[in-house]
Amino acid sequence: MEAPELLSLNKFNVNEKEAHIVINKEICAQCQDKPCLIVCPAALYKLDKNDIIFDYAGCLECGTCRVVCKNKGIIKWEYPKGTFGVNFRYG
Amino acid sequence: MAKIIACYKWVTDEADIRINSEGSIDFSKAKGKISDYDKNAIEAAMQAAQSIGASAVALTFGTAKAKLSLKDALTRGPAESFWVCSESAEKADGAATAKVLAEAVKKIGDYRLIICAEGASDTYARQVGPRIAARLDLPCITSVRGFEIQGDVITATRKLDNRTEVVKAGLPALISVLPEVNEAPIPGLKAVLDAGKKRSTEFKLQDIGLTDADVAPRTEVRDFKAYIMNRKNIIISADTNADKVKELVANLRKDGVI
Amino acid sequence: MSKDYAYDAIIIGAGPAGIACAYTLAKNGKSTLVIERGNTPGSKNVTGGRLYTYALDMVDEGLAAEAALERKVTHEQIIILDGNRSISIDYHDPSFNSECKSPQSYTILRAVFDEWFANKAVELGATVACGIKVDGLIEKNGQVVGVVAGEDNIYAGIVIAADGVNSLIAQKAGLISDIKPHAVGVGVKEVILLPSVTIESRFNLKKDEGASCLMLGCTEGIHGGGFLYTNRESISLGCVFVVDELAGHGRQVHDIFQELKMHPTIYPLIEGGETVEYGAHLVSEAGYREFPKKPYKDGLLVIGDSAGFVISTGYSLRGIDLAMVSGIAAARAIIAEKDPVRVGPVYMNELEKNLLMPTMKAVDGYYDILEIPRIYSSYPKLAAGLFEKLFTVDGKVPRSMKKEIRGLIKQNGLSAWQLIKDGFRGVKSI
Repeated sequence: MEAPELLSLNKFNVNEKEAHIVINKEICAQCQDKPCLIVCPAALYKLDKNDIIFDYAGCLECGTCRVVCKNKGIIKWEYPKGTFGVNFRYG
Repeated sequence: MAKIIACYKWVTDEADIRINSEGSIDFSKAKGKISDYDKNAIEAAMQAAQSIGASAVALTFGTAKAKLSLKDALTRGPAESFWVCSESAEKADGAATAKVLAEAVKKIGDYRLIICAEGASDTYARQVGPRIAARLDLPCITSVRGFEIQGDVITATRKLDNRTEVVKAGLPALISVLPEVNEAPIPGLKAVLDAGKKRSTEFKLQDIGLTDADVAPRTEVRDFKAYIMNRKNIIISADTNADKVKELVANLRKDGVI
Repeated sequence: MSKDYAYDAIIIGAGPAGIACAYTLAKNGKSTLVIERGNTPGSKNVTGGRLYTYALDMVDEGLAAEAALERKVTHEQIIILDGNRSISIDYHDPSFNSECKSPQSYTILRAVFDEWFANKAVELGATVACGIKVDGLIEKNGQVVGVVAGEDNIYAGIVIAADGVNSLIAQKAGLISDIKPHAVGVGVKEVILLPSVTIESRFNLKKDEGASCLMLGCTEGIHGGGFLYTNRESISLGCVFVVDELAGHGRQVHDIFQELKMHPTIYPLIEGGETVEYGAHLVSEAGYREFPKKPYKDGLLVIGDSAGFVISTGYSLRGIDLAMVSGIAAARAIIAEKDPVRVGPVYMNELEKNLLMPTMKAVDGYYDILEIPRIYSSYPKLAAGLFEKLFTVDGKVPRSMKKEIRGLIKQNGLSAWQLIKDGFRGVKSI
């Protein structure tokens, strides 16, 4: 199964007003390794030419991208505000 | 203190409903929630109460499961909540629900305004608000996207097909509001803690002078099935984005969508 | 109408650590507030899935017997994978089910378990506020005196950070440094629905019995492994990868995991099942050596995953039980020591007394073994190759086993010296 299909099984309450993770594309463009492309279990970091595109909407809130982001292209990483984000039914 | 009563419904969270491959629907794992639009109704009651110095209260009709809703409703601000508890709520139609809520409203008493959502997020039948108004002989304004109260008069803007309409009515009255009437805030920590200290009153049907026979539904849900939409399965595969858009527009035109 | 609230203790996070702490505090008459960012306790949590139930009974005698658990683990399995091949070890002990008064472990699903556990604490008088994210701590003269959540400030005698492995609270307080990519693994997991009879027949289980299975050799050589737990009517299947090694790898974590599902040994176990959830979570992989020097400061204690109470030995994984035990230690310290400035050292003392720190220290050597990169690829290959030779009968004169082994060692890019060294390191470490 592809990641988007797997994510569609989960229950999300996306905060349309505020992204809990924000990246700075210019810093990311300078990053050679771009480990976020590999480690995100939801495969939310994608590459468009040399630009990282990121969509916080299927985020599983694991924090792996934050841990691995050496060049600090992720300029904001917070948990979503209360009630928002993923709601695991099984966990 | 005069009251503004917000009515709400504890519904099945549609995100938890599973559709089995043969089209049957599985509610067994689904949790409940306050109908999304009713959150706006409760917030409308809060704002109205503040503007005229009244007290907002929440009212629901539900089965034993709806007990979970009381605290949730109270975190959204109302000073107290009322719950008509009866298993008949499971099968109640709009007429039966309106009958119960109207009698509960009488019991609560001293109200200036009743606020319902235009419809519930599960059935969206849009019956309950107008029917309560009819039972209580109140003026009723539906499809409300904004309102204000001055003295004994409520002035509401209704959203109709392609226009708006401004309507005045004397209080007490009933309005049913659209989600755009306000933005229901996410309750904060103190609101959650406050809710634990507020009063909830449970009514049985007999407490409001009704019997099971009074709330027997006249319409009955016989079956739930998933609605299978036939997709056109057209994949637009032109090379450039400009061509893709052209093709998409051409397809939409052909189908009379635009 | 909001009043000013003040509690004896505020606990951030309604996971097993936070609730074990809240339960113990509430039972001892302390006013306790637990703040949970999920809509319900457990709704943000993912586990592989098992709980060693001694910890629940440590929270309160008899609690394990009524807990919302899945299956009693009677089968402990280890599967070594290499390509399409596999070696399975299955330790079956029916007495885990029948004779022991308290079976030692159960499979669990966290959304179910955590909610149950939180309700138990509420029954004892704790307040659990869900759907609220704590944004930060309130400090006064260097002492933590409360929390900030949105526009609300709430005060308490002591604050306990139980906000999980990625503890932004403990980091903000300066108690733990930012997580290093070699010290954590990322775990991914699918919950796959299957009828209970199917699960029982596939895993050779009696009703209510369960299997726990750890897998080696399914991570493309990356430090990590797979896991499978049988729940009542579902299977939890997942994989963990140490983050820094994964980052240097070419393939996406999700792709490697999907391949594991399709492995000829694994697929028949989940065949016909329906995936209903895909979760991910960080797992601490560092053990005692990365344990914070001081998991407390004036007015603040750090418990559970936030402090790094996880043990991974390669054949077993423990976290939830340790989280609970640390929560109990914190609660006991708070009950014993009224002064929030002095409670930290008492907490450390409790961790020693209830054997949590000694346990962490005792198994620290396992991390030396788990750091041997050969464990994740060359050794599974070697083992599978060995079994292949053992079971191959082709009518020819068999080569001596010694020669075969030598050949295999060479073939897998290993040397006898390396084997001896790793073997020695292994023995020394445990």
